Amino acid sequence: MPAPTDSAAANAAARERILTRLRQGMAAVPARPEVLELDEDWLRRQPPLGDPAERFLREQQSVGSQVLRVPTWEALPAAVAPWFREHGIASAITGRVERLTPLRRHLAELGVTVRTYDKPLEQQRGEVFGTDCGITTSAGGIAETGSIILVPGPEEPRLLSLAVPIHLALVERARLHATLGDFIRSGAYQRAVPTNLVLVSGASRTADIELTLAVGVHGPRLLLVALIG
Amino acid sequence: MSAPASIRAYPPKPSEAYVFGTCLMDLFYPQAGLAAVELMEREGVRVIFPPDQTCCGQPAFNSGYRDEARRVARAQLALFPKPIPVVVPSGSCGAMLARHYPELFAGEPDEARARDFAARVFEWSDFMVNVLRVRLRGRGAPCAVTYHPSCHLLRELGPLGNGAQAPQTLLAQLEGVELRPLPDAEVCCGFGGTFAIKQAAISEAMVVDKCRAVAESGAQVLVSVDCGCLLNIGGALERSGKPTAAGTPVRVLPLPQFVKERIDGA
Amino acid sequence: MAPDPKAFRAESARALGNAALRANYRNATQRVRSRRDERMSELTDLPALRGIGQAAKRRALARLPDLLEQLEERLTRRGVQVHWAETTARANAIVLEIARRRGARRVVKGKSMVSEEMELNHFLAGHGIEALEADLGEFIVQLAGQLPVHLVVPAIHMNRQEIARLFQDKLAVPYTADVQELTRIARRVLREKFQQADIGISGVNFAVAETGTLALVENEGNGRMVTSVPPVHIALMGIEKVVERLEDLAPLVRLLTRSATGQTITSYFNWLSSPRRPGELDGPEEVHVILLDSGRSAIYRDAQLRETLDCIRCAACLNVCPVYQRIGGKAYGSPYMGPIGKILTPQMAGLDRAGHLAGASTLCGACYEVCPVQIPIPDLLLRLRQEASQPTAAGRALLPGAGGGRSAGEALVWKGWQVLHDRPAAYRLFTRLAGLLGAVLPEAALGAAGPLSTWRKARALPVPARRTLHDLLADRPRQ
Repeated sequence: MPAPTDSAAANAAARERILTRLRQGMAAVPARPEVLELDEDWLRRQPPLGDPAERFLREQQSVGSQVLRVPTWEALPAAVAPWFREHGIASAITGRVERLTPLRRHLAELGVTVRTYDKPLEQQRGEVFGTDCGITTSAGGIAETGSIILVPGPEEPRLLSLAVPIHLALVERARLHATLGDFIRSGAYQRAVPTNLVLVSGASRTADIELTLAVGVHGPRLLLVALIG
Repeated sequence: MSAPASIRAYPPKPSEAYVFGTCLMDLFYPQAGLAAVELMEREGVRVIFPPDQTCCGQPAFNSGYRDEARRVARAQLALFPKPIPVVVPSGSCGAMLARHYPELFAGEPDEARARDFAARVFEWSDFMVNVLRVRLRGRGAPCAVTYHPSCHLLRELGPLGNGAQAPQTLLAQLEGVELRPLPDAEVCCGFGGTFAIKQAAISEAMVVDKCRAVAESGAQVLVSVDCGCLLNIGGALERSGKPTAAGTPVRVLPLPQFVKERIDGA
Repeated sequence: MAPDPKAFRAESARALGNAALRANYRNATQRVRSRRDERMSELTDLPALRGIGQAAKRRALARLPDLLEQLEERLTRRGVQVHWAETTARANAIVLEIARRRGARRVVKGKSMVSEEMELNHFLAGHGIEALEADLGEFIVQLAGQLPVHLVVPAIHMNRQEIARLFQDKLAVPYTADVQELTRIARRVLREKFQQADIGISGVNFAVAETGTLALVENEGNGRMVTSVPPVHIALMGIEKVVERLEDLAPLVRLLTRSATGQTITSYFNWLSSPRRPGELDGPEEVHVILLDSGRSAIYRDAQLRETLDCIRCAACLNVCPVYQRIGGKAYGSPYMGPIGKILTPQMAGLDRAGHLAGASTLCGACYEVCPVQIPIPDLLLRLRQEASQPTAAGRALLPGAGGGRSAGEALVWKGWQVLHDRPAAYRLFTRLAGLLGAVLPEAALGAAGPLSTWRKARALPVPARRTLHDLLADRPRQ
């Protein structure tokens, strides 16, 4: 809904005044030649990353995530099932992802209530905010920082990985990038800018009270990561 | 004006050099100034001390009164015309001369002269270690010393070259001198020039912590390259009246004076 | 923003005298410092990385108006509404307009320093709109009726027992000082609020012009919540937050998270570019960005002062500042405290009202040493001191309150100082006199009044030498 007309005029006027002052500043201050090293070159001088998969999992573990290596998508349901028992997960929710059908079926057989986030949030609040575990795939990961690249969309909405106390993230080994810089330079984001992209590098945490760590503030308190391939 | 442009190159050992004594050393630690001069002379350097020198201008500059600072600075500039090093036994005054004079004279007719002058300024221990390349020999009874690095040497003047650690290098050359680590050495002592007066309560809190650190070090002597720091910490130690473990008050000295004492076995 | 010299003095004195408060600050800042140091020591060639980060900020600032236009174009194309506010009052009015149009009564907030600058919560409350802080630290200080005292850890000055009592009082829960339990309580309360809110408000850490991306850094997830759950999202940002390219995010976030909390990366790095698209099931229907000027375009016009705008709000300077650690954040009377606050606040609130902040520093340089983008804070403090007392033409044109810190008494002191020091004969006379007085008068008399008596409260007065260095050198036989 567009803003009322008189506000639009005020906005345009403010915009002009601000930009004019900034242009004066731009003219007044000569641009310094920024001789600089590129981030890529600096990265090459850093200690070696090692095997990306190992580094990715180690980084996740260092912040308290639980991790698993799974050889194939087929092996996935059996591999992650123990987590559901271990953490007493009674209900799980996924998006509309074909690939997750075998996992969903397996979990249902184990007695887990499996839900689908397939309606707008406003119509599905209870389920979205009331399910034990959200399961998402991912658009890859970043080894250096142990980050999972999530690109929520129609199939996998944002809150799948946020509103739940436990988040199970499925990451494909083949889609790991060494660093954030590498991921950005791959151009994937720029080619089709998504509504939202989130790098998830651990559970929700805070140190706001006496600098003491606490987890599960607003997002998941536990992150489970299965690295496939 | 931001980070120092590049690490400066040290000149070869000169046959003569100026000394800029600084007003605080002139008035409160003249023996230290004399020691600084004599130690340079012993290395074969002819020291020129222009007698009309007064103050680098830092007090006014730091308070925002650059016109007054510039007038005084201009008078100093005229006294050091020869293209030889200007050695300063003070981190903060050295930083004023070496880093801030170019800024103070930017756009002025004598800007070029100020830049040339600034490029020739060295803190005394930096000059001893990196230009004169001294190898000192110490004598005398064992002595536990602790060193307080002045903020201006550590963060402003030192990084211009290789001088931030020069004081420790000199101390390490002296036999019989045990350098005790000073807890939280790199934390400011709270002097800050007029800060000690204008923000007295905060300054006091800072110097009290520094005195506690000195006591913790167990040293019998405290040295530094900044007279302001020494007046501040020394004055606070004296006021608090607490002796060291040995039962004697901590001696507070500028580095050149301490070095000369140890060399002469005094 | 209400900096005030008297309040500064009073609040500093109060903080200095409160041993428990000082201990809280000392321990907390020490913890963050060591985490930061650990993380930084893992990097090879940190100076080069700081240079890369500084260059990314400078490059963006060099083209600021162009990049803001580019950012606006990209965002607008995707359905984000971009608003321009010259003042905090206008920014508040824009938020109110949006709220009124939506019939909004409840707002939930992520962490935003700009919103503190705007005093947004207070403004909205005055119009019957509840604004609830969702960041745990902000939530705590809001409950306590206080303002944040640190840029990154808003309740750094409180210990867990105080927070436990606060929750017991205000949230009607049993007393517990267990940190995880306190966190669970806050989670429960705020979960409802996210869902009930009509509007979610966030800050912006970096806005990428190249792609029209709003990038937010956080650990708790409240930022993701406020930008995903309520039907409207308003992002507040200072105009200096724009960066040129997506690639610039890599070195900047690397520096930010290590400097701020000692983490290699925060739990969430959230990139937003548009409202909910057709087919998507969550996310706001409406997204607004308010670009706030409020003094930044003036700062921008000065080559030296412009470096103030390089700040990425990591608070590393606060954590090393010996002054901040001892007087705490409240004394500054501004949402921006510590060393960055001492250069930013006077430029925003005016040198007449906040010039005293530029003077409350020993210029030790610890802040500069630790700043991830190498802002020369001591040099900027010196410049502001000059503009407060003896303004330049540029300063008078750009800085509010230039010359407003000048005191006739102090000006006289420096004139007197100059007269004594630019003439060798006057100086000699002065040192001769000082030496004589020092020899003749007892210390108590010398320190009876004025500045010397202030010194004397904590320290013995130094005694001027009878024979100065000038004398000793003049006395020596000719070489």
